[in-house]
Amino acid sequence: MDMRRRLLWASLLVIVAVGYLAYTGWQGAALYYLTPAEAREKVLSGRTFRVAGNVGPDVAWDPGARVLRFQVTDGTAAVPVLYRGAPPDNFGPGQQVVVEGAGDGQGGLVASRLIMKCPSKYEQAPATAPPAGRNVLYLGAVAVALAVGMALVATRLLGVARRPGPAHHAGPAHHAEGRAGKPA
Amino acid sequence: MIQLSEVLVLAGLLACVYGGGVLVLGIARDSKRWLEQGRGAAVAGAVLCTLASVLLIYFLAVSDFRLAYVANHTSRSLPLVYKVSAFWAGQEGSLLLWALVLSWYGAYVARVTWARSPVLAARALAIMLGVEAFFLFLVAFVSSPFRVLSPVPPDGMGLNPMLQNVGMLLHPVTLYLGYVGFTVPFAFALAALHAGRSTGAPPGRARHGAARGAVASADGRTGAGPGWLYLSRSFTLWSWLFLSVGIILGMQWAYVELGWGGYWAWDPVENASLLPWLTATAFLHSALVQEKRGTMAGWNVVLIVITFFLTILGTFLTRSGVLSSVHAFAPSGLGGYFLGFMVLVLLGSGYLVVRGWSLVEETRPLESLLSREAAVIVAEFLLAAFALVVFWGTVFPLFAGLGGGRQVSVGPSFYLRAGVPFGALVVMLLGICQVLGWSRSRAGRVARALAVPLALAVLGAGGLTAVLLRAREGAGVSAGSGAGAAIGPWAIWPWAGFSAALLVAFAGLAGVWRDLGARRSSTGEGWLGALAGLVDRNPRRYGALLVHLAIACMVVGFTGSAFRQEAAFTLQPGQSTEAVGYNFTYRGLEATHLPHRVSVYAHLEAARAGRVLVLRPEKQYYPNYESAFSEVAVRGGLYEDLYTILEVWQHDGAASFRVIREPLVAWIWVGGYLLVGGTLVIAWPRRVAPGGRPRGGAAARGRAGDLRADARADARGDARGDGRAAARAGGGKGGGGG
Repeated sequence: MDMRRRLLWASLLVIVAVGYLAYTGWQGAALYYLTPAEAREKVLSGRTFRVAGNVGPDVAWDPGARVLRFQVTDGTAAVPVLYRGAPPDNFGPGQQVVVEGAGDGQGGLVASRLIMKCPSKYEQAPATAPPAGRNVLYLGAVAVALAVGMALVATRLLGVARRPGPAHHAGPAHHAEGRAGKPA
Repeated sequence: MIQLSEVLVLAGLLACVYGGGVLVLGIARDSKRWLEQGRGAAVAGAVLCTLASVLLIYFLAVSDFRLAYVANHTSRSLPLVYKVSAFWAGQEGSLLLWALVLSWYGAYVARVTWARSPVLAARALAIMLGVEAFFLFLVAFVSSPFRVLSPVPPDGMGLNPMLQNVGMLLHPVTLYLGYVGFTVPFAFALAALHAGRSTGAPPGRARHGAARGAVASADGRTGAGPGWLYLSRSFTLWSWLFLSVGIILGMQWAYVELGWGGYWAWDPVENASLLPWLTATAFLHSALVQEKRGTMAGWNVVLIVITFFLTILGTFLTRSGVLSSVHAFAPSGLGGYFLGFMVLVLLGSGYLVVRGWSLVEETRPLESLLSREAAVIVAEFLLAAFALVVFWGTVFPLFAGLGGGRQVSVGPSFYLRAGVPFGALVVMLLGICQVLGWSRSRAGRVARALAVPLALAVLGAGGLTAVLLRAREGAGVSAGSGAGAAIGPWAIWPWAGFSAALLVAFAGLAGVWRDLGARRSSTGEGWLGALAGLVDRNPRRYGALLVHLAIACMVVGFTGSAFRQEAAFTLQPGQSTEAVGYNFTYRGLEATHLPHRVSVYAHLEAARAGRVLVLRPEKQYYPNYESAFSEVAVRGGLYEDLYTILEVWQHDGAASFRVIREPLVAWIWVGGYLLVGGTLVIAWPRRVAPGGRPRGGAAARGRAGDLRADARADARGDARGDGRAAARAGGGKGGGGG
């Protein structure tokens, strides 16, 4: 019995399984991003896709029925959206939004997910950094001197620390690590 | 001061470049003088990085808003702990953190590991300094935390309220500690390949590998043999621990802070941390096989290279904003540098691996398919398959976008259908593995050892599934969807998930039970004394058992999500409604005014079986942010969580809620604690006193003796063939909380 051959077969089996699962999984899960204009053509097809754009000016939220109606627009085209759920935290006219859903058969979109693209959430404000008005050569020279100096000192210290005997590495080791690693 | 910190970063970069350069020279010319210089430069780099970081922390602590980084991530009113933690809240600081941690590891290798193997340490240190130089280059020239603002703002932007959370305080730093640590085994693997190839002499063995002689590969070719694994083992373990803890903290943060009731969304950034975890887990186990059986050397080299690559990819995905994600940071100019570096890593390590392949080629055939090493190999195929699916789903949208095609993304269902089955198979295999011995096991014996735990697991899982199904039906979920019979076939999957998890737990506990009985009858100790004795004698075995128990707990938690129930409703004050098996009564809105925020919360009562829970889901308003932040209210225990979100409130007092009943979620966090405990048992460094005697133990229990003792214990386990030797193979996280 040749184990290698068996393993080869086993790995082939796994690869085929991955391929099959990935392919079928992909068929159901791949979501294409459309612009509102493209979405207007596709809403009749009944397929699920994502539309990215801005929330239009008219937003209607019915708390009793829990229905949210709005339009997603890119300035040129707009698609009416119906979402059965509450508006997300920072939802409002003009906000960037990604709508995931399928056409309702009448030119509108029934959203199953509403994802806010909120630039304020994780993005930092652009910082205005002035051009470096410093003597780069001078700073560079200091850095070089510092680097080489430190390296030489450290080499010397390591050499000294090693002399007692390399066999007992653990004792002096903690010492050296503490010196190098921990913030003072 | 600010200029000084820039100079420090620059000097650190120069120290790395200089150190890497002299190490390469010293290796090429075999010059001890140059090598010593390189060691010194590594320590100098660590000191310089530390000083620069201390300065940044100082600037953050005193709110020096001349720095753009300080102004962008903190404000005066922020508590000090969040001011300091802003060190890793942004891109620039986290790049410096990468370099800082790596520089400490470099100093450790230069000082401690060097004494054990100068040949490998020199080469590994050169590689580590190269990686460190890359990150310091980014910090110095591309994305510096020390950039200054020209009009100094009176106050900073503050830290995003969603990041003001204890989990978020620790999540990034633990994840980074995990990411960075894998640089060390990666560097040592390549070092071993290079050393073995260019000197022709086995690098690990003659000089300092006496402890490994017993377990080295059969023909003595230890080119990339256990030497590098042994030297970097503690780095590997600690990094795996930090990576695991980072992922679990991230899940917990998402659960309590993001307010959608889940902990894992298969978001690209989450996947970026899962990918190296999967390959690192595979690496840990095949490294063990190499240590015990002398095989799988090639696997190990390839796995650690891939793991390192994935940590860089993970940093890149998180920090470059190339993928749309809830976590990703703003787009920055980092992408090109990272891509270039990743190509360099792949080419460089690919070259070394191909050149040195003859050193790690498999020469020993497997003895039997019914052995622990065979199970590990199969589990690694499955983990690799899982990782491949996750990789594909995460990265394909990137390629599709680059190719000019339509932007595309994949939803969680892709991962659940294509990836999670592999994870589930790994967990099943792990259960079986607990009773397999090294080398070969007799089928009858395995079946006998497995019979009772398997029967108990299937029965217990069936009971658990039935209880959860009843709870679901009681809540009227199935009534709406038709007959209860429709639930039957579907419930097979969670039943299988629970069975696999319980099998892992029961088979492991049965092994401990047998060991305890044997020890008690031979030593006459009490239960606790016997347990302590066993753990003390073989901490790696019992630590691994604990980690596998942790995985079982987590899989129970993941599988429980199949029974999740969700409902949404709008109520006027005083109104009640039935949902997800509870009777909810909404009493009204209240508000609290704090200096830095205003909270509006709903007073919601949930009654079930005569017990009333009071929940206060909130909306929080911060002066610096125009949007509101939902703060969920969660009550629960080991059986289930009740998770409530205040979605919208009206001025007339009406409030819209979403409520989720989440069975067994708490077991994920329980598993997290067990995982930490188990890994600590395995990895806790045992100090060796100057005389070579370990603290409070027999003389044979030093670091080197440890391996010998393990090998002996295993040899006995093999001879008996009853699978009592260290039980660890195939650890995988199976479920997924869509």
